[in-house]
Amino acid sequence: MSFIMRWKWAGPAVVVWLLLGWLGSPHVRAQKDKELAGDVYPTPVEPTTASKLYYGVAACQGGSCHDGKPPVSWVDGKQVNVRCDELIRWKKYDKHDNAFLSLQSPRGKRMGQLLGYDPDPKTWKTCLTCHAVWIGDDKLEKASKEVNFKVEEGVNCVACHGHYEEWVPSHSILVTARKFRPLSRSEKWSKYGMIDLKDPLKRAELCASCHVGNMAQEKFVTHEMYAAGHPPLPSFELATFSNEMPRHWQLLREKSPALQKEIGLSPGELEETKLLLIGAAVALRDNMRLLQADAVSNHVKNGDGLDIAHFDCYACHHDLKADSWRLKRGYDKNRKPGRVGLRPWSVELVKLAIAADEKTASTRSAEYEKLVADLNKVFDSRPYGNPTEVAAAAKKLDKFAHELALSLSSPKRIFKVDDTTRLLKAIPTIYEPATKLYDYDSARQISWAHEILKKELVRIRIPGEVQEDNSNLVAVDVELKGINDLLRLRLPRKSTGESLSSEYQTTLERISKWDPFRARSVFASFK
Amino acid sequence: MRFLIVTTAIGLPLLLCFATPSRSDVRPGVLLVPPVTVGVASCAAGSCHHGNGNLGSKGSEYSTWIAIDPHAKAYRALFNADSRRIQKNLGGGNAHENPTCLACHGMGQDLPASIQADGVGCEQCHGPAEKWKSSHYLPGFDRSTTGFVDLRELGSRADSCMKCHVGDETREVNHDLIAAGHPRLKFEFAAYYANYPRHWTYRENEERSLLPDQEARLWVVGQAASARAALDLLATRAERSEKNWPEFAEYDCASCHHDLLDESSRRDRASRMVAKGRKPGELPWADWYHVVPRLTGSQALRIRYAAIENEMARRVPRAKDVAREARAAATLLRADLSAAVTAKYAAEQVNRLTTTLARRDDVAADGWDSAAQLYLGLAALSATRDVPVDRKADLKAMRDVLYGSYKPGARSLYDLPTKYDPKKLIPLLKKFE
Repeated sequence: MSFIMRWKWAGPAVVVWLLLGWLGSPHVRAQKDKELAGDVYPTPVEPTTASKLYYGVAACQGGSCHDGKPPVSWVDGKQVNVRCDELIRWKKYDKHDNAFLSLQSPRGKRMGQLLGYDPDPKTWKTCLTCHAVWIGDDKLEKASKEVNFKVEEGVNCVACHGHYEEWVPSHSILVTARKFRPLSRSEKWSKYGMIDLKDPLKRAELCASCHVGNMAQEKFVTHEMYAAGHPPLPSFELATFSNEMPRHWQLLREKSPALQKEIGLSPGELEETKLLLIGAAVALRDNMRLLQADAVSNHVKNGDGLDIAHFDCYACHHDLKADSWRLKRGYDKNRKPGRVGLRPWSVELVKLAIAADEKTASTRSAEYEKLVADLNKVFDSRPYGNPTEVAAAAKKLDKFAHELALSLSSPKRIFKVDDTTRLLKAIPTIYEPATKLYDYDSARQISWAHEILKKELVRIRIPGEVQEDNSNLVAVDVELKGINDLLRLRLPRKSTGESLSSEYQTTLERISKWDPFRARSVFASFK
Repeated sequence: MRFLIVTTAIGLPLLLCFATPSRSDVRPGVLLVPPVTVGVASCAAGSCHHGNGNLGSKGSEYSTWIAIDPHAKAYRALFNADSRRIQKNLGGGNAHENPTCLACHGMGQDLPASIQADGVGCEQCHGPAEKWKSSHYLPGFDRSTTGFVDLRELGSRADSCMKCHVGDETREVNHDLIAAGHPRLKFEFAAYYANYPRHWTYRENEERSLLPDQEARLWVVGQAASARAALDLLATRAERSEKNWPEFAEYDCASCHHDLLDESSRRDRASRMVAKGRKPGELPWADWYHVVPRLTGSQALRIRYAAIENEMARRVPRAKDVAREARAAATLLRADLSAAVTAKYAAEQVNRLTTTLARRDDVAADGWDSAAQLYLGLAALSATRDVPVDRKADLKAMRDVLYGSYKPGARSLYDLPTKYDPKKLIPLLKKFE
């Protein structure tokens, strides 16, 4: 080949290199990461006729139905179908209201500095997707500000109930409410944009998007954020978290029989049991989606490992001690010393959700154990796991958990006293708490499930109940005191900014002192 | 346009061909049969090395070793409770039959149990004796005889320790082994040398009275040798299968292994990392073997170190780049090592080194490992000159801070010095300026 001929290659070579360079640029990378995440997260269904608009809390406040002033009469003489003190509870107790303020706390500021963010927290997109509402569209933001949208309001009403223009006035003005009220829950969503949070699956997905994470919505607490000061994200159990907000809504069983009929509660149905089981399946599913989205992202494909945030925090974060319970425990025969596994809590409660359907329990359980073992294996196969194989294994678990969630959430699937009693009795068999060793988060998940089932049985047995009978619940609380002392089953309520730090500190102390050998005796009280 | 399409169509695959690494770097096979290890029994004749004289005296090398040298107990350690636990965690079987353990706790791999049972015997350091056992005492013995390792040279003496105490391509304590229960390795040549029950007498050329700078030399040589060994081990780890990459043992244990209770110290760590241009939550490459060479080394060495440090900060460092930089740094250190063996350490230079260490309160703040290396350096350098009494007191005070960083009743082989407080150590460090 002549010298001249050789130079002919230069043109195409430059083109190819420029192309490769462009494909590797941060913008294209982020775009491609998003597309890949899209493969993992199904495109969300949008309402057909409603248009996006983010109302501020003011829209729900002052003289309206959620501020402690129930209207004298409502459409066609029907009862108001809410408790009417939602905002009062929200302002008084609910931490979601403080979500943005925590970014301005000393901890938040320090995090911002360490992460190299702009001084103004209103620009911190990676935080605001969960700590407030991130609109991300100038025009829409401007329009929303005209209806009193304020990022300072944190996770505001429409963050969960639907950031759409139509449903807000439609459900609250007497004239339009007449037309709105008789609509089905799905029509209220599809035509007006009011999210159907009474559907356990929808609620689970919504809560899990922050409490587990959702890469497509850019909600992900990375290890870098933790290292800069973000408190450890606790494990997530939907039924408990709903109660602990505290609930600013009534469970259907607390409503009048007329409303139960109108909204849809079968006689004798135990809704919290259903919520617990669906929440368990969705938490795993969305954890697996988070894992897949990270594993298939371009930066991981280009050689970075999975984000450390996916891994078991306390596998590394413990003091090294010669007399440690970890050394006493040793390793499961299928696991490899020195390798870090998945954060373990999300796989636990699914076992209970599988047990809910007696017919399929044994085959599903065997399949599930294998899928989890396969995932653990590829986590152990190299430090930080093998991302491609992790994505494949997570995809299978995602599918499994999704199908489980769908089967549980069918409106025909009604849980009654017998189901809940059976599941409560199954806990010692499934989890063998007197012999097996659990990490803090998993132990908490199991304990929460146990508590939810136990309390729902106590509650449902009060005939014609509208108000809670506290004496029965108090008895359960007394029984669970040992577990509560060990794991703090109650979650903190609203407080101002940094004073939550003392709460984190006691949580960290409990985790630091966690000894699964000692915990077994407390769990032995599960009956 | 058509030209462009055609040339791209042909050019792209061709370009990819060029980009693929060639497979011609096959090394010629090793044809020589390695010399055989014969075991300590052949050295233990009464008239040779088992004179049963005073410990450490000439002719009583074996007697000294078998009586007080911990290396003689290395094999027996494989039967203790810690070893049994490690082996159980590794999947069962016996530690004394596991080649990984025998590489350092016995006489090497592929040897009969009778020889392994010697522990770390003569030939682990002096070389397999098959070819030289019957000639090494004769006049005119050729020290280049196959298998013989000439340990008179300080550099090769240091290297002989590094094989096991740091590791090499056939011996290592990696994170998998540590997680199974093996203590991490934390070797510092001068300190180990000072505490070693020597089975040899000083020869004239290294008599302390004749070479008053010997302590400084041991420290400088040891630092270069251990850093060299650690870098070669890093390169070996990077060059191997990605199944073990990144190797967690390359990182500072305490950077991950701490509970989450002490928030303020964690935030301080994050701030220090950010100040160094790192991100919070990255794993910092370990300091133990490299903190001193990075302080005292040449500009060229520091550039290599910076490159390794940058790469190791990535979650999955690019193994090829790490291996290349580590090998290059190891080469520089090999040259430093040879120079350090023959160099003279005048009071002026010792003072300069002392000040270099004493001024680095930022290094002392990095953690216990870095602080301990500063202390070990100051201790060696202080022992070089006529030691003023107050130095001993200062060194003891530093030692107390370092030992005091362990919780009461801790086993320092396993526990981390979680109570380390730089604020207590730094004022003591300053006294050496």
